[in-house]
Amino acid sequence: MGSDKNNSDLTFEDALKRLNEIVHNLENGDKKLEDSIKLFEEGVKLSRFCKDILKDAADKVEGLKKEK
Amino acid sequence: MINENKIYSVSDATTLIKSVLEMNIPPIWVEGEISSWMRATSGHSYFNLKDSSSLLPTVMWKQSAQSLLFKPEDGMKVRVLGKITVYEKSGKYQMIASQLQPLGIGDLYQEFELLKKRLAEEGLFDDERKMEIPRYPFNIGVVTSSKGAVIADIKNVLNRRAPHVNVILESTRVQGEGAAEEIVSAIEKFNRKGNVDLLIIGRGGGSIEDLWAFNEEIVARAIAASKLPIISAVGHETDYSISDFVADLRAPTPSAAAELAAPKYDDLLEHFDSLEKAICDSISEQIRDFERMLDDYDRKYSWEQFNKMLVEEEEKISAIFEVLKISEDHLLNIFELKSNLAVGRLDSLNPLAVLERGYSIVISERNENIITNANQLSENDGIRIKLHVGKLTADVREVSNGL
Repeated sequence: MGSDKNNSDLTFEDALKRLNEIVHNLENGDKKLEDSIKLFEEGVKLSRFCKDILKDAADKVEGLKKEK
Repeated sequence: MINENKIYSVSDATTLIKSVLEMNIPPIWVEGEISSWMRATSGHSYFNLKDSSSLLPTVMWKQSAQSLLFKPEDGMKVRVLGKITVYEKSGKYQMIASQLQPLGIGDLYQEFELLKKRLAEEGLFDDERKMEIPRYPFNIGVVTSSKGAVIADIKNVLNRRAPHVNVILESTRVQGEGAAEEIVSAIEKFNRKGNVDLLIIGRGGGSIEDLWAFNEEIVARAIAASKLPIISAVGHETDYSISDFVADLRAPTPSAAAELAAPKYDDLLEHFDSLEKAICDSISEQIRDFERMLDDYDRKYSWEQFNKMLVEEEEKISAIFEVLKISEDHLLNIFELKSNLAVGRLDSLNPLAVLERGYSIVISERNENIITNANQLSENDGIRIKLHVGKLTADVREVSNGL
């Protein structure tokens, strides 16, 4: 689930929502280790994905400001 | 009914007065001058309405006072809609004001109140109609004048707070002839393009005339029809416009609108860091639990223990084999001897195995019997002794009985 998802379809908000779910699931800690590791990987990817979106957006806005 | 012969208690008399006054005087408009205006911490406002000869104590409850479009002051000529009530405890009558309009520009206020009432009745201000403001916008549309302070304030706040948020301005006039139409078409344009996550519409503070575009019905309807959530930031904190009521969220100032619209960039990054930390902590915890479990397992079922157990088992097994082997040999010997005895042909069926180990067979020369007991022989009897290799012939020198 998720790890092979094409990230270009994923919105920031959906990614954050899924990330919160993952945090919740992992903190409940009743998963098999293999499942937890999969969730962990997915979570880290999602977080990086969201941070990248934020940073890219900030760069883009910065660029637009310079154009003007 | 009033009974002239009845003697009333103070309470009964007051109740009578109260009912006469309250039932016979419907809400009325009263014009006068404000004096002793006082706004209590509770939010309720207390003042007197007076003219040259009379004074009418007036109360405006918080809820009504909140929607005032101006700041009432002593000496201001106003028109008040109110209901006369009697306050039994102090034996005083007063007016409960529901509306308050300054005189002079009263027409605009009246128009405002009428439109507000009509749209409210239509349900345009209902909470159920309000759209949720997106929590993580990346593009914010602003409808205001490019020359005003609003866009500068918004850009300033977002620059500092949310540098990842792109601001797209649709510049319109925000007061005077044609302003309302421009605001409407800007809202519609954003909706058509769908290039932003939400809209902020607004202008800076001013008189009721200055703010009027945001009290126009066409603007109210455009806000209501917008598929994009709208934050309204018109005038100062104390100013209310129809736009504020229809919009999905009212911000007291344009800067506040920007703050309400966009979460802090740093907070967001930090939030992701903390989420990452949370999942790292969870997984580490789980791995530690797992390792602990393996350690426990190791301790209980260590290899040493296992090997020791194996060795013990092996020893037991070889001991059993030893016993078994001995018994087997024994049984074999007995079996062979017995069968040899049975056929009486010891020479041909040589139990080599026994002889090889140093045993020998004694045979009586007298009767060819195999000797197993000394009492089978007497002194000087001839015997043959069969060995593994060769045989001996001998005479018995002495016989000792017993084992």
